[in-house]
Amino acid sequence: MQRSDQLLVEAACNGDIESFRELYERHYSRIVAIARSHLHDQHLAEDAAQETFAVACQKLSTLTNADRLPQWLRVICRRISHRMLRSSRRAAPLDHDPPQNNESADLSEHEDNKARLQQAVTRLSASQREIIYLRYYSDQSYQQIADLLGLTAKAVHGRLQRARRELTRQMKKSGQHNPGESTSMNIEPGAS
Amino acid sequence: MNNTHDLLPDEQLNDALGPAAVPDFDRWQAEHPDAVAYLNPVVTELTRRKRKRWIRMTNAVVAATILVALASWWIASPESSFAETVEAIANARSATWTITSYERAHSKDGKRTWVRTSRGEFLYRHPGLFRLNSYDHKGQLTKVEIEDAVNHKSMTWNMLNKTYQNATPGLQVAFDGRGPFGWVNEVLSKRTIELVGKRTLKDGEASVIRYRRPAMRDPERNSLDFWIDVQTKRLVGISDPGANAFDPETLPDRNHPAEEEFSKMSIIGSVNENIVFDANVDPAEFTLKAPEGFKLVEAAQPAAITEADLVEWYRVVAKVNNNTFADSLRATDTERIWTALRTEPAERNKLEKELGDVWLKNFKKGNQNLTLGFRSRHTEEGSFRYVGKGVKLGDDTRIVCWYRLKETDKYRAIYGDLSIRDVDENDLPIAVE
Repeated sequence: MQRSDQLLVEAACNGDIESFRELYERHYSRIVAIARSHLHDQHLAEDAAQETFAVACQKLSTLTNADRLPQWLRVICRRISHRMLRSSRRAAPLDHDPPQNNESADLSEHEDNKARLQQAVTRLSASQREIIYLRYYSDQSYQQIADLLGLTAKAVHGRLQRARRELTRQMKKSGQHNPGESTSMNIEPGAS
Repeated sequence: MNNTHDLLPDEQLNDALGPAAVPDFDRWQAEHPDAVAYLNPVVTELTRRKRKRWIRMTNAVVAATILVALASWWIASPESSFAETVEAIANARSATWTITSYERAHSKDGKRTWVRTSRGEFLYRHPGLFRLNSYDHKGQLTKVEIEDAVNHKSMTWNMLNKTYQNATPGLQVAFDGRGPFGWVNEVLSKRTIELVGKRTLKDGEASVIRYRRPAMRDPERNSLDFWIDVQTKRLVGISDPGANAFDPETLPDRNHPAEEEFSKMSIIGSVNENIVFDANVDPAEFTLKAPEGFKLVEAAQPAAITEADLVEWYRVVAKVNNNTFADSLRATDTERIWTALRTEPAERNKLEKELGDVWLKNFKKGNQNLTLGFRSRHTEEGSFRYVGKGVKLGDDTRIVCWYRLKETDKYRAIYGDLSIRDVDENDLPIAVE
């Protein structure tokens, strides 16, 4: 049975590095998601996440309520991300550069759409970006996001819907999204 | 724009943001040796002592108030006695208790309601014998269910039409050897709980400890109240939901007259009470032999479970569990899986939806617990062994489980990369006997 954060924190504070490893692996992707929502760069986000865990490791014994570990990590991550942003003083780069020529029209269009959507995400508010990254990058459930951000699952759903509407509006404005079209098959499992 | 179909599809967002980062702890540890040095009991102790001194110095009055309140509270507080509660549950070699279920019936014309109760009496003997005697709202014994959870055998007697069935769905689907209330120990020891008050029982008083279950459809009814006797410190009752949402004594229609016909019935709640640990329980109560004169009715057999079914389940469980196989052959023992299956379907992420779909598919075929069913129906007795804890999905060097299919001599093993291979028993990581 997976141990709770509380047990892992206690064990780690008593010198059990493997317990800290479990915490690290458990929370890593969501902390990278938080960092990326602020830094807009995958590599910088991973640097910020690793520094977050370094700080957390040093300060772990000061954490009075281990049940709030995810929220605590998030606060540390945001501070580090903001500090990195201030010190870098540069515009957020795209993770992907658009293709240079039109040799393959289909590939270019897909990559172009992708780049525009990434740009649209950077224009969301900070809180909307966090939710978008937690849901679509780190694949967190509504309840996990709610616990991390101190919201109800219903509030998370509402904010996510608003963020998606904003993204859809921006994409339509730039003429790159056609609502209702989908190339993915929705296969219903369970038929037997 | 309110129509969900007009929004960007999830897949487009997933694609744009890319796959989640994969943690590499070994590399992180190598790059941050100074940080890891803080994981030290001496450092921890010094930090905590420093913090305690600071609190005493700067909050002397508040601390004194807290101490006074705690002192008077401790006398009736169950928190200092959880150890005794947990111990009694864990060490119980037998138990008896009753369960009362409350339903609200609506009249044919929908204008009136009344409360209907049904009662059950549970008996338990270690390590896995269970019996439930069920009574209807008229107090008539209608059904007896007996289960040997260790050997996965059960029998149900229908007392009204004098028939019986073998191997019906069990009383203890998630049996794990911890006794009927082992899950309560899990909650008291590891989950967030709160003391909400006291409750007067017919022979004493109990502290009420409340636990809020995550991700329930109706958050108002997500509570579970545990009643712990203030004198004996033993668990004596469980109310589902808790008193904040359900109290049989104050139901507004509890005294309304019952009618013969109703249009619908809805569940209000249930109460497990009169819990007695180490009760005097006769082993004969668990005999898997139908009463004289009862006729056998063949139960519908669940669908066969193939190796491919098992592999599909293991794959989806591992994916949800951070690409690691479940800790034991009961996947729901792993917290991540337990939580995922209890999340409302609308709130599940992609992987959790897939997990739920695979589980439901097998449930509809009569296979609620796939590994247990595969083990008991398709493998030679005693040959199945699960060793998947800690095995990473994709690892072709580690075995997740091995077994001998019925009426065969060869062992087969499922590996971390989900391949199935014949293996020599001498090559298995643990001796087969």
